[in-house]
Amino acid sequence: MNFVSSEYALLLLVTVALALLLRGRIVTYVVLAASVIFYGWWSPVYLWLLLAVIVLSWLGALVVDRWRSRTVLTLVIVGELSLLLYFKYAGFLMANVRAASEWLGLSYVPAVPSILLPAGISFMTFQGVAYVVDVYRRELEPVRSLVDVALFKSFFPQLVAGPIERGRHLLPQLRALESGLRDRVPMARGTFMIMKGVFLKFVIADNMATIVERVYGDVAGSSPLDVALAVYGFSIQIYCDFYGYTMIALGSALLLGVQLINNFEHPYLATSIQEFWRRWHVSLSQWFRDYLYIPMGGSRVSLPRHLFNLLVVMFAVGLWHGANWTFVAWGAIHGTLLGLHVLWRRVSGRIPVRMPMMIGAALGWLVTFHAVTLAWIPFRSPDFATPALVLDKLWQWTLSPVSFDSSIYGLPFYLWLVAVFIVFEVIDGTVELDRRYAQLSIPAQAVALFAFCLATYLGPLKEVAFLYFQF
Amino acid sequence: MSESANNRRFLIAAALGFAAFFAVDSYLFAAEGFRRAMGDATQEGQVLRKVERAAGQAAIADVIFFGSSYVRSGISGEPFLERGLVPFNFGVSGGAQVYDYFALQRIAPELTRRQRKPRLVVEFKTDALLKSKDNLWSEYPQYIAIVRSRTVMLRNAPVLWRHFSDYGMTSQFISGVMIPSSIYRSHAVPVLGADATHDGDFYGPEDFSGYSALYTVATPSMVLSGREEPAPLADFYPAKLELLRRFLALAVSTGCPITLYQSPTMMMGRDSRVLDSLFEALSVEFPGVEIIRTSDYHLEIADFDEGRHPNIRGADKISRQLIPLLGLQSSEPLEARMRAGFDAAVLPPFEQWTLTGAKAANGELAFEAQDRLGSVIAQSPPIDVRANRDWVLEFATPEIRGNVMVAVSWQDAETGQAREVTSVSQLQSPPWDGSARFFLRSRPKSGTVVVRVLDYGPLAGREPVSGRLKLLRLWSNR
Repeated sequence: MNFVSSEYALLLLVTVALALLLRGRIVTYVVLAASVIFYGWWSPVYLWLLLAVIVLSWLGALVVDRWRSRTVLTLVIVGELSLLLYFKYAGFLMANVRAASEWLGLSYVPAVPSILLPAGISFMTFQGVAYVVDVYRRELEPVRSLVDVALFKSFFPQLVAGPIERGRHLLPQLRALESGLRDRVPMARGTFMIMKGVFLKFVIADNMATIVERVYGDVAGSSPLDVALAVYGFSIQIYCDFYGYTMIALGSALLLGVQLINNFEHPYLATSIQEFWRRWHVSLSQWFRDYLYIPMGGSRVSLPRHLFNLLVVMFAVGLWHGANWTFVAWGAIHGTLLGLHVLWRRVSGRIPVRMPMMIGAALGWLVTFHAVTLAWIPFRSPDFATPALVLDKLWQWTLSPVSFDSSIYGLPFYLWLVAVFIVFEVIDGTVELDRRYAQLSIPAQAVALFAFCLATYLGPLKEVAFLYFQF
Repeated sequence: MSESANNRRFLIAAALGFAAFFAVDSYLFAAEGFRRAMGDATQEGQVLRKVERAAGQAAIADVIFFGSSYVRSGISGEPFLERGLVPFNFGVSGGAQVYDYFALQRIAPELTRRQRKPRLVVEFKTDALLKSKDNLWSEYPQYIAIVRSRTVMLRNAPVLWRHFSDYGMTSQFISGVMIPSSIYRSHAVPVLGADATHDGDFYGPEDFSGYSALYTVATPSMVLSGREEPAPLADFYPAKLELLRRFLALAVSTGCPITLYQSPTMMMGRDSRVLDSLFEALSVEFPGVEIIRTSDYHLEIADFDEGRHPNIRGADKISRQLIPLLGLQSSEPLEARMRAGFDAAVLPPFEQWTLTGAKAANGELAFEAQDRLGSVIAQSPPIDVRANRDWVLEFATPEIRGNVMVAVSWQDAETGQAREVTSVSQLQSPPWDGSARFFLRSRPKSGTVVVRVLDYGPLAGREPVSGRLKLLRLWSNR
């Protein structure tokens, strides 16, 4: 079920209403039923997969807790990852084996299986791995009740695109559902977060997608200015898409009395690439930090090993996003940028002259934002030929940036959206809008809600799936 | 302040905010607010404009056609009129079973009242009915344009839900019930970014009967291949079939004779048996329903346009062949019926016009390229019309080289500003080599209009026009 859909609005409304009215174990069942409807809405067939992931995590944690052996833990993790490997990477793997066979002139040319990627499998798997590892590390008691694990794994606001919640953070909150929600649900704040998310996704990201899709669909035929607009446009699109999703997830969970991890801390305001990764997709960064980077030694190793660790982790982050070398390239670029940042910090520490703080921050922001924006090019591209074409067009644009040769239909509307995004991001970065909204007077709250409803007229007619749903 | 007190405050605010929004939604949808601001060149505008004149035309028509653009642009009015018959083309772009059913509901009371029943011809289209991965016949804009009441939406909710579910559009369906004006979301970019207005017509103006002409010519490479054998019933969209059945049941209840019409495709008649199993099933349920297959009439490749629809030559050809196939005969005096359905403006003969480079002869205007200096060829004296009514000026070019533009202008009674709408003949490439008819619809806010004939060549940097032009009629639905 798409978050920005009438079905979801109704599901959330009914679930919240029931959760507010009821008390006791029934609330758990209500939210679990809503989660099953939410996931099964697209294709009920994949409910078996959800069930498999739930049972695997439930049993795995109990087994790991009982035997406390590294081998058992490894087996359970392999079990969790095998589903991900099959659904997400089997086709990619076989395509590469096939390409290698053809290149080597071998007679064995395997067929590439066509496997439909179930929504949210990467998120579910990583949450499952984190759960059993936390139990193994004695950071979390294993949950005996299958229903409780089922709700933890399938809690609908975070089911298909995160945040990747840890057991120790989410489980106690889900248990508290049974004690009733009345008097502890901040309705205004939760609703405002949903409104903010819908605005970012529906009005800004989905409209921006129109330009981006058209230009990336025909880079060769697009003018340099249009390619530049699409490159910046995608930077805005992916952020508004994922941040919008996260806001709806957080707002929905809040209406059920659950506080999820905030995945975004205004990453485009970051003044370094390291800071960017502390602000972008926070739950994924933390997952890789806790379960891969630190076990590999993190930064407490020699400089070459530290740089190697960063590269490996970011390679894995890229691969996690999608079974395509373009995602791997995106991860490798970020790994390189993080490595360069480490080196720069070492070098800059030895430079005796200091730049004024403001200028340093502004320069840092400028470099970081553009590095991140350029790195999105392979991420958005379907193949490796496209980034080369895009970069060539961007180069042409930098040679004559004042040329206004654009064929984008309705360009002023999109420029208006960019302006709204910048203003919104700056205000949202300085003031906590959702908390402020809850403190407004009744007429002001009503006017803001009304204005938000009117703004939905700016969204496209047909719903557009969230980008991160495919990961 | 406690959380429960905060929540109480918010619930009051939410009730106020949503109430205000529902009021806006209600106003926009009920008052057709966007149409007023943006004109008729939207899917909704096309449907609403057609529905406005539907009851009047249904009251006098000998035959009423329902369906998609293959009907709207595929069955022309003139051949019927030549044989003393009044057609009403109720087809709209993208219309199929959803639109047809609700369109029939709009005129069913009128049809039931009528003594002499018109024949109802409903399109029976393979593309729309057969299940396919990228089927384009969701009919959402058509549905929301013709069903203007939540009661009707809810009364038909089960079948509509199934229908829109086949197209992955249940969310839009629910939005349509909750906030019907959400359909106007599709206009954000044109309104705010493209500086575009929706004045004019959605996919071309229509003639008196509701027909909209196409003028390009298809090439042999555009001939299609596809399924030729009868499709089993399981291959059809169940909800579309249910709506077709509902249409037939309602049509039967009005007492009108019914024909299922397989509209033309560029399979050139080879697909004529595809719908046979469905027709057999329907003819058991609705005895007396007739069928016209694509093999029952004959078209050539040159009768289609570049979009694979019948062009004006093809539409004229189909209309001429349909008249005997439908068994239509004129039994009542045409003039009296037309007077009942239309207001006709008196068009002054060309001899009374101001001619600057043209000659009037035999009711026609003849013009040569070398006869004039400016672009105006002829200008009529003021012509009396009824203000704020939809008027259609139909003109023909029996012979022409180049492009002629016809303009209808008036002085807006409310604003005092001069307004003008125009239509250009034979703008297509390659140039149309035969005679053709053109239609120009306007809604003058004035009691008089002036018609001008202009040479479009100099205006568009092309060769000057020469040829002959004939004004057919300036009509308005009563």
